[in-house]
Amino acid sequence: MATFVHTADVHLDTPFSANFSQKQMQLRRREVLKTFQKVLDAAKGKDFLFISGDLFDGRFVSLETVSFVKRCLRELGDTKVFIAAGNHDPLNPGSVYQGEDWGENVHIFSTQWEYFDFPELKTRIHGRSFGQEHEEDTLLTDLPVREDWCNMMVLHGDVVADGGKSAYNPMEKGKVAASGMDYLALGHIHQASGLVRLDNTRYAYPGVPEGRGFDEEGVKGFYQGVAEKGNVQLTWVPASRRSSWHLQVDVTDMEDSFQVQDAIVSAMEKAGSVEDIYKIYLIGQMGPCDLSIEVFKEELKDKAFYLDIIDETRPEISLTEMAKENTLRGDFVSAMLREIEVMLEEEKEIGYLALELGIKAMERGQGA
Amino acid sequence: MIQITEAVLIRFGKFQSVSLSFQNGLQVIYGGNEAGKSTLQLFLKVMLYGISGSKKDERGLKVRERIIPWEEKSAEGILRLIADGKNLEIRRKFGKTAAGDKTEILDSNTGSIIADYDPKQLGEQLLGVPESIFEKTFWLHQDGAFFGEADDVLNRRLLNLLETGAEDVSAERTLSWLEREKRALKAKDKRSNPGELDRYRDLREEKVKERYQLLSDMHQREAEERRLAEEKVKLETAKTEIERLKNLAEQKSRILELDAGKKKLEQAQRMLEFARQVEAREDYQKFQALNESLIEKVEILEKKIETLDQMDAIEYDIRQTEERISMAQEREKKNSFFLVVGIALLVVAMFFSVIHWGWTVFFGTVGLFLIGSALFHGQRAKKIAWEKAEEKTRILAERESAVRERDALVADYQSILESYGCKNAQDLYAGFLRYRQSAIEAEGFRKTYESLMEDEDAQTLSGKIQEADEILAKYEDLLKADLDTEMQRMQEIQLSAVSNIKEIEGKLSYVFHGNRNPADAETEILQIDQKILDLEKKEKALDLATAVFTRVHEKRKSDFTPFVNEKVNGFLDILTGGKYQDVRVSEEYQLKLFPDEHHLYPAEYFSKGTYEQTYFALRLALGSLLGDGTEPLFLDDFLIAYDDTRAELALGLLQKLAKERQIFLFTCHQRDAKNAEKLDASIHCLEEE
Repeated sequence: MATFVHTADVHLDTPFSANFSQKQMQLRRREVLKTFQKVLDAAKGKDFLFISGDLFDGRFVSLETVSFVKRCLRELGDTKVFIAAGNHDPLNPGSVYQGEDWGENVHIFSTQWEYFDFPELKTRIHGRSFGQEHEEDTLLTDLPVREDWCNMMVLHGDVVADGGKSAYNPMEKGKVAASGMDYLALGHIHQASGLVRLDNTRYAYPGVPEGRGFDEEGVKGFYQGVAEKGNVQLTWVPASRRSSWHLQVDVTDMEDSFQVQDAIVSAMEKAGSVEDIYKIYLIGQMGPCDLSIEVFKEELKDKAFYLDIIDETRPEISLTEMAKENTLRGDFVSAMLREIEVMLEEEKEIGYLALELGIKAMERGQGA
Repeated sequence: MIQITEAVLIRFGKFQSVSLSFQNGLQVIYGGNEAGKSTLQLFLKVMLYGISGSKKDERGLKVRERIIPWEEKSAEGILRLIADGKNLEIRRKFGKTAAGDKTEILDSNTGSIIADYDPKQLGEQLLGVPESIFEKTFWLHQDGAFFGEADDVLNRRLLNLLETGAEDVSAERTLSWLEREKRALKAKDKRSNPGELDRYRDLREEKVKERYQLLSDMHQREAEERRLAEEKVKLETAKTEIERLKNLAEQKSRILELDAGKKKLEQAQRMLEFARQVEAREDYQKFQALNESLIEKVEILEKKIETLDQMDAIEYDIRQTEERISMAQEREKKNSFFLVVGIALLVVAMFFSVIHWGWTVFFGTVGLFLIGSALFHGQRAKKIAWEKAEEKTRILAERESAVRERDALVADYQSILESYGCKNAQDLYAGFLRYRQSAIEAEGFRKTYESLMEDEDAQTLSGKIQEADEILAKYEDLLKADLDTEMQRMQEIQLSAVSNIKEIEGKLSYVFHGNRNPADAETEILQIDQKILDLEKKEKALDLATAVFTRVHEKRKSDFTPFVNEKVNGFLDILTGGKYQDVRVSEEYQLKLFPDEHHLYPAEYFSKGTYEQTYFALRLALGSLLGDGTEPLFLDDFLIAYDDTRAELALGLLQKLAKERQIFLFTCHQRDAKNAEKLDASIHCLEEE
């Protein structure tokens, strides 16, 4: 029975989507490296470490980071490390993987299918790297499966429905099921997938080990598992130093800004800790009340590593009722609603913003 | 309905404690110039609306300057009126600034203050329109055609004729707010202040440049780090190589020592061989037994023999002696001849002694000399011959003795020489010298040998040579290698590497130290991009809101404009006696008339009377649209430009309107006052002071 750790999409030296200060950015970059180190600590003593692509984020990877990764991987000693390059760090002529001192225990799959046998574990490891940013044709193909052994694969890409498309190695579920693999250690999807079974084949995406933005919400981690012919067991291990939370706080019926602030704190405490990264959207309808976002941020700065609050509240009015008014405002709201109705879905946001700005102009303009 | 019942001008302009009472219907206030008509009209307005701002009139006077009497600090008055059945008393006092103003609104029946009215909003509360609209509808001063620019408040109020409530939306201000928001996003042109979107786009450009620089710096730094690593490797390699070369040099030194030892030993062997070769020479062997005493003996023998060999000299002496004897004998013969000659000469002399003395002397002397000489030398020759004969005898004896001795010596001498194979002593000595030379030579070789050998024995020597041969064969290349040059090269590399490392480390510490990661700049660019995206959405939304708002506003305006046109036409028809029935009111309240069915001209193209009548019709139309038709009208000498017919028509219209409202007509023209009187108007005459 082979033991392994499976990670992917570490995105080392990534830019962040939050509006971090310089110090916060530096700290976060180091934290991502430390989280990766945590994954490697878990891999010590295991037979294999699978890194299924996008270990590095791309063009901003520093030599220091690459050196750090190489040193950490070399220090794993007996654990065999298999890396399949992904769309962010494809194995092309300028790739960071082209260096030589990766260590005896590290293998970076080429852009052709390769496999390695481990007779003592009755295991065959298959893998292949992305050679370019986009792989629109599936990389999955008939592989030399060792029938009586456990076959595992390290690969980056999208599992899609049969006939589905993707610019990142589309792997149809039917082909995955027929691949003959016992386990596909996949990368590309940033949320942990859990162990998915398709006939006798299982696959999993571990997600990112450390969230980089608000689209990678919550606690992140990696998988460790055991595998033998016909049997794979996975355990998800949380690893992220901090979690990002994208929260909505509905302020409807709230009477003052203190109540709003309490609701923000409550939502933050419910989701995560003071170590975490928050983006709070204030939504709903509220009566005349100064929401003083900057004051909230100042008062709550010790409640989070990073906090951003966005006011998306709407005036306490009903648009449909307003549209019925036989007034200029009613005509405007009505005309805007008609415009929005025929807009493309992605443009509707602009329509609603125009509606909001128009109403605000009619209200605020009078005091000017 | 509002009905003004009394105006009390306590202290107001030229008026001091003047009271005027009014009735319903048309009120004509008649007076000559400077009678105070305009002051009274102003009184009625400020009592209703108060004084706001510091607007000046056409003479450049502020309202307060006009109404506060000279040497007074305030103006004051009371206006009594009936509003919605309530008797109100408005008491206002106007100071030189707004701070000095005081207003009270009382119930004139009870004297109690009515709190429902806001002094600042009183006019609007009573008449339903703000002051600006009041001035364009219910208030007509002498330049009645002057309408000013498009009035947004008026527009708004007209727009809301078609709606219920929500009268507070100003299209102009709404569009202005939207425009301001757009300008806050994006500058109108390059000369304008940049908007937020412009600033973010500029910032993005800066950040992109910074990212490029950081990326370039990072690559440069990484290149320097790689170079540093390479230089460190070079340094380590050079150090290792230098250490290896040192070891090799030591090894080579040892091998060279070994080689030198081997050569020494080989040299020793050669010396020994040379010694042996020298000792094996024939001369060495032959003359080895020879010693110096024997040589001396042979030399002595040889000398002796040589000495004995002087017999040759003896023989010579003998021969010499014999020759001398022979010569002496010859000389004797010659002397005998000269004796004979001498004698002969003497004879001659004697012969000549007779004939010639001279000749006698001569011959006699020569003959005597010859005789004497012959006698002397003859004697001497005989002596020599004798002595030589004796000597010859002695020499012959000596020769005999020497020959015997020589023979003995020669036998001994020959015996010695033969044993060494020499011909003579010289040969023997030469042979001995050669032996001695060889012996010295051999000894020299042997001494060198011994010196080279030191304490070694031959066997050890042999072993050492063999070992040296093996080691030397093994390190043949090393011995050939130019270690010094290689060492020098490595030391140069080491020095260069140390220097380069210092330079690169310095560069990394000072040039690149503190540089941000380009990913940070990228993060900021992403944030800016998001901000730009949001602002661009807002820009689009503002454009959309502006377009939609403008569209609906236009639509509403197009809805109310015909309505206004119709009202104006109604009044203009009456005022012009049916001459003009079709008028168009523009958005800016500019009026155009159809003098015939096909042409439309601005009102300014027509006579002053028609022009003023048109605008009067507009005011009446707007007033009737905005009010309920019961608000009082205040008209200041507006009939000046009217001809008699139209003045009568206008007064007829006023009389008709006055059935529903109070109309205050201020005039200085008797014609109009009289005409009004005919129409049962109340006439109030203002007298000049």
